[in-house]
Amino acid sequence: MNKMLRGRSGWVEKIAQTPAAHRIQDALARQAEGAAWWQMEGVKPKPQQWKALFRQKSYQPLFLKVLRKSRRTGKPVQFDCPTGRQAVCFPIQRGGQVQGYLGFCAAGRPVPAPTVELAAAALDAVAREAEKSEEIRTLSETIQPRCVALSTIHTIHRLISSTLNLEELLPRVARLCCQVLRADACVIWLIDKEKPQLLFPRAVVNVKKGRSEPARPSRMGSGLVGRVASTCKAHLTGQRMVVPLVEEECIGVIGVRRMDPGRPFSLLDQEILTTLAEQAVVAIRNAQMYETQERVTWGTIRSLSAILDGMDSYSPSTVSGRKIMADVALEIAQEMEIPAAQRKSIQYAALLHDAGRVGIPAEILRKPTKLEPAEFDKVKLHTVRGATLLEPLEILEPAVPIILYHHERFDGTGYPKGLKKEAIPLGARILAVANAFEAMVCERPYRKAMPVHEAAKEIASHSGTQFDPKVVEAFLSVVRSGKLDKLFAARPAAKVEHGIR
Amino acid sequence: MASGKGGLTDLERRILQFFCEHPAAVETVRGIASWTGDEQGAVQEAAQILSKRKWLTADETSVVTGYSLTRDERCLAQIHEVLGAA
Repeated sequence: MNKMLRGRSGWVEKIAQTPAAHRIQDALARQAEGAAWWQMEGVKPKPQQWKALFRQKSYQPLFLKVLRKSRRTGKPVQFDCPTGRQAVCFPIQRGGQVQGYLGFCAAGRPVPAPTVELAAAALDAVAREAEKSEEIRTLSETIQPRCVALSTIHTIHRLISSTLNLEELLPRVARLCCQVLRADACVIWLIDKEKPQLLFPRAVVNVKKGRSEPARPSRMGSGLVGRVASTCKAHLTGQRMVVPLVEEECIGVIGVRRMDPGRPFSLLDQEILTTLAEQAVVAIRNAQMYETQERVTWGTIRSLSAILDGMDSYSPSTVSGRKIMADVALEIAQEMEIPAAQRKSIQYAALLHDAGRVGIPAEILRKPTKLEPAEFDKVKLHTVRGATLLEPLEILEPAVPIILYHHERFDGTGYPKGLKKEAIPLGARILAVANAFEAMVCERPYRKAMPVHEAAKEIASHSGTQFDPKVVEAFLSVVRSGKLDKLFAARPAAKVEHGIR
Repeated sequence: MASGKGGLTDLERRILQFFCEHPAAVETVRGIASWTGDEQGAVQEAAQILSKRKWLTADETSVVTGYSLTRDERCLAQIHEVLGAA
């Protein structure tokens, strides 16, 4: 390429630099011996560009005429240079408009017209291809950030709708708001159920720790947070943005803040926060409803457990063996890093494990001496009966197998089915240890209570036969940690009227 | 996979590049894989490594993990240094 007349777009240069255009130029150069290539950006050359291309001013009218013709027809123009040699001018188009020219002059021998036309068609194809690539790139640059944003909203929806634990959900929502809006702090206030005129900060996230004041409770209608909650209207000023959490009614607000005054929030940011708030409010409401349901469930189970206690107790000093068993089972489950939902089922099962004893004659339960085989057979039925009694309660579904199998032994000699090792549900294996421990450390009508360390030793001696060694290991770890001492220190001496043997 | 400049593999570098270009993004492994055009298993491994280095933040739930760029300024400076050295 000998000469270049640059314009603003650089389109001609871009086309000329493509490998395909190089091949076309090489092919033509072989035909037109010694031809000098030139290119020009823009449809009209500027005065300084003339200097670069021609030494003699007399060439200009001819060249201008050629350019005009090429531009008007959109086709190549073959012409004779003032030197008498042949020259060709190819118009280079973009979107149907001529953007500049590519050509050669001073050809050593003439190039046949069909070859020139073929080269022009090929250059057109190169230009169209380049145009398409550019369109695709522009489209991709425009669309990709929107796709990423859409995908982010979808991910956030999945993240916040996959938990029903409010204490886990709210900080997560606050952190995600900071991330998506590039905010430095986020606070979520929720309206208090007991005092609906008050909003309490339930989650505070400071990305730049130590640079933000701690959030304070707010009163409905008063202050920015209170006003947004009472009017349900979003607020945006500079680096601060507050939007209401509204489902059927306002349940709270989300506020975000940026520390840098040079980066105020925009209306688009407000739209994004509103979208996040709309997603969050559904997740928060679900978590709140789940919490309420959990409280009702827990209350029901405690009532059932208290009824069972009432059936046992004939003395006001009696302590619920079920409660001790539930606490011990929970400690073991925690030590074994069992998921929270499963721990809850173990706790429920512990509180109701002997619900089936309601059908066992009182004289058998109260018998201070060793039971006859026939009596013991009746006692053994309590696991199946308890499971059958509680089965209709859907909320206790995961607890039922634990209740049913908590008298199974690791070596397969237990009841009701003689299950072995891992065939026994883990919850039931934990409950078996807790049950045995509770039976030893609590006083029975037929024997005195055993000290904790002796009971632990007794349990350890049955590891691998009566009990799962892993559960025993976790139990002993709990004993060593002193957690059980704390548990017993909080209670008077444990005394249980009737425990299942 | 062999580590390149800054002790990062090519995939780890491209994942960081993606998050630096889209700092507000929160993405799952599947999402990242679709943007980088890599296999999900490899992306998961790389994202976990970056998360251990605290260059990515992982929001984990029982069903999904969302990765996003760290907000820690010191970590961000390290990332820019490593990407700039490429």
